[in-house]
Amino acid sequence: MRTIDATLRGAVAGAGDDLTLTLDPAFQGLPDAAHGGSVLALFETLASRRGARTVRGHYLRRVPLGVPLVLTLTHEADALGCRVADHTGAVLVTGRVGAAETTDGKSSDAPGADAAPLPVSLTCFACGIDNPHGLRARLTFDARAVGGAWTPPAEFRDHDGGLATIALTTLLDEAAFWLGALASGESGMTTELTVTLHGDPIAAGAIVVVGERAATRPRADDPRGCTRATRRDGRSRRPRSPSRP
Amino acid sequence: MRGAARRLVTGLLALNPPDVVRRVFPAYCA
Repeated sequence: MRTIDATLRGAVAGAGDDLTLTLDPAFQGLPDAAHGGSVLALFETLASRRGARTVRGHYLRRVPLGVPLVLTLTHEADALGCRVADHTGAVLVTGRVGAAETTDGKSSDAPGADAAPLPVSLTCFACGIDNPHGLRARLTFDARAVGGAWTPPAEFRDHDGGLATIALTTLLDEAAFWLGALASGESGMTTELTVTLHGDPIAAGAIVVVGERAATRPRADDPRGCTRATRRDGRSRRPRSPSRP
Repeated sequence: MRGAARRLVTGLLALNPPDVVRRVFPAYCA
């Protein structure tokens, strides 16, 4: 069995700081585009940083799947910078992995038992029912929150009992997408993702992802809205606009 | 951006009960 972490690492070819990135179609978010959570997890993986850390992604354009892209790394004193561009040189995503920027550990409860299901898709990495490598997450919502519990299958675990970070970044991105969709009645591409890991993820039982609907608010520079999802232990993500199912 | 969800909703309606999609994207499920 190939782990999802191995599939993600296998997307990168070359050596040094000038690399080629070809994302597996399994990492789809919106049709014909990578899931924001998968790109963020790639940056986190490339940094090979342990302990508390913050991963940021700024998405400028759609990131295509199955297409060779130019991945450039920049080493700062205590951080790794990442940039993905297409063959024309157009920058698609920039990112940074550095020391944890927050110790916020606020948590909240998942939607109640009477929560309504959110739609699923066919091939989305998070919710796709026909994506054999995806999470197949089933999120719900009620008047207060969006969220759900997800139990990692073997593909998302490593031999030390660790949990692939891509599971967390994807669940958060997904929850935030639905927060934005519920607030606006529209969908859109993620433009900003920020996730703080308070430690190395452990695959022990179900992962609960929660996003408070009351925390969804418009941004002055974007008429579409803003969402924020917080995992039970405080990992969070802030897109400027909703992302994907 | 109005209309952004149109393609997405078309796909979702093929997989989900209409009520499930309508709760999130009411403008596309009249």
